[in-house]
Amino acid sequence: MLETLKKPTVAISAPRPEAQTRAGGPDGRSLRAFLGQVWAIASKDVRAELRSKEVAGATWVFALLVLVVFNFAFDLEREEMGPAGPGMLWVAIVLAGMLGLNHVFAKEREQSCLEGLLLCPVDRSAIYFGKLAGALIFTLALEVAVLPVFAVFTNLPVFTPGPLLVLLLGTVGFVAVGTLFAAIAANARTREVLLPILLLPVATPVLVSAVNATGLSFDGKPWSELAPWLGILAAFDAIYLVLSPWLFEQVAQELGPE
Amino acid sequence: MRVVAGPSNLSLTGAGNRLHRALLGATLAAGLLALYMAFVYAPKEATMGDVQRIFYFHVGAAWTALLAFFVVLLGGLAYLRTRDRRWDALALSSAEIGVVFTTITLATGSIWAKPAWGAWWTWDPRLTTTTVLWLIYVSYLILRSTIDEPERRARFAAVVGIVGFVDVPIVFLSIRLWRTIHPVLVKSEGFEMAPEMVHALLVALLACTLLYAYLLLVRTSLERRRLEVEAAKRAIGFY
Amino acid sequence: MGDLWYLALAYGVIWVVLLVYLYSIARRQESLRQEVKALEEALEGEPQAEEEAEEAEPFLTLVQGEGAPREGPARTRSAGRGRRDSS
Repeated sequence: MLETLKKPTVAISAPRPEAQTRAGGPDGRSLRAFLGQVWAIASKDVRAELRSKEVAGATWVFALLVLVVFNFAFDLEREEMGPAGPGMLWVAIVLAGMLGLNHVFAKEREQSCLEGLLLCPVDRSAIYFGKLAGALIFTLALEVAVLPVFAVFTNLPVFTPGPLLVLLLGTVGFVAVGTLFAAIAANARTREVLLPILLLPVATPVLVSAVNATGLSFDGKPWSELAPWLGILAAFDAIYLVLSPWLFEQVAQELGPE
Repeated sequence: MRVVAGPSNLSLTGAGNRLHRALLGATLAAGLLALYMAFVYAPKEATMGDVQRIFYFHVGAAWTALLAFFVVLLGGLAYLRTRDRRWDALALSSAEIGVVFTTITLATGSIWAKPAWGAWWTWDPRLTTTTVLWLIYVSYLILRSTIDEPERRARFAAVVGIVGFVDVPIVFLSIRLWRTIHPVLVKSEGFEMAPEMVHALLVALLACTLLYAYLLLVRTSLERRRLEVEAAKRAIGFY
Repeated sequence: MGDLWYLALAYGVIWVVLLVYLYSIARRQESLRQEVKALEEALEGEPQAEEEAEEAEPFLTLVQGEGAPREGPARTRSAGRGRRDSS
């Protein structure tokens, strides 16, 4: 292991065969092992964040700032909150969420922990799901902290099942692709701006569907009207939750310092 | 004294390469025919007049861009499987050409919009989806420009190329649903297509596809030649 | 009819975009050609055998990926470029 550490540019290859457990395999033990790995990675990230509180507080304040700036930019009257509210909320979540996503691999990179992580006999997709879980917890917590402020600013009924479901589905999809792209962007020179450049165009369906569905549910429209939007969100989530782990394994082969 | 092996097909006119010249010839022939059919053969449209003739190459460019991005997907998958950088050269070339054709689609779509609907831009489904497509593949090119290390660049680009193309149908569906529920166009946007128009459109599609194939050949051989030169330099000891 | 102007503009834009792209390709081809020429000039005076070995190497490296072993010409190139003894 020491020799491997001495070679900075070696391509990190896949782990040993016995470590290549796959989720959903016939062996229940391997599924449990896989989930254990996921949990280990996720809880490490969450605990590190709780201990330092660096990013959580800052992104929450940033999200609030976005809401406030929106009101300066558009001078929204009370009646306009209905049409403008959902967009305002999702822009705040998306922008603040990307700040958090930048962080998912940034800390590892700074302390060169990424190489160590990749040298462990851990299934690459477990790393992805672990990182995803951590990022998801972080972003959902951010949303929970922002919603009350949003409700106060806009008087919109956010704490009803409709908007909450949309928030969940939208966040999952956004963070699923975001985690993958964060791994890619973490190694680039212009990483802070590269993540939005990569993520926002691809996440357009999430944004469009989430804003529309949120608006419909604020207006108290029936589930049947929300259904097509929720369908798109669910499809996006499903596709990228399946695709991203495999793609992450490809990315992981080239991770490490430049 | 040759540093790089193989015939030099580094030219736009394809000196010394039969496929190259054949493709260029076919493209020019189809292009001229398409232009004739768009301007002379196809009748003038009833409501819009001659401006409608933009349509043939607008649709041609749009279709070709989609084809190009599909090739980016294929090239990326092939690279991930084989680690052969020639597939990455293909993917990069196709992405560049795809962005060129998407730009043409956007520009012609916008220029059409002005006489048709009175505004240079509308957020109608086709223009909006094309814009998102443009952004996705421009971000692909930007990503490539930020990574210096060739294997990493090829691998990451392949991943982004795959994500991008998989996203295309979802983008299309979501934006179409959006515009079905919140339509923007006051006037109806369709027009009756006479049979001659269909013929002209098909020939225009063919011409655009041939142009794409030609550009792809030229750009990919340039890229592959560049890879050979890099490898030669490394072998000599320049690096 | 102002409408015909839009038609001309559209086709004009198509041509301009294509020509700009073709020009950028041509420019890159030219710079690559010059690079190859510079390399060949730097290698002037090399024995033929070494050159053929060198021609095979880059292609191999390219096809097999950067992990391919590189021996042969590298070990005879002590100075990279520069003059060789030719008697």
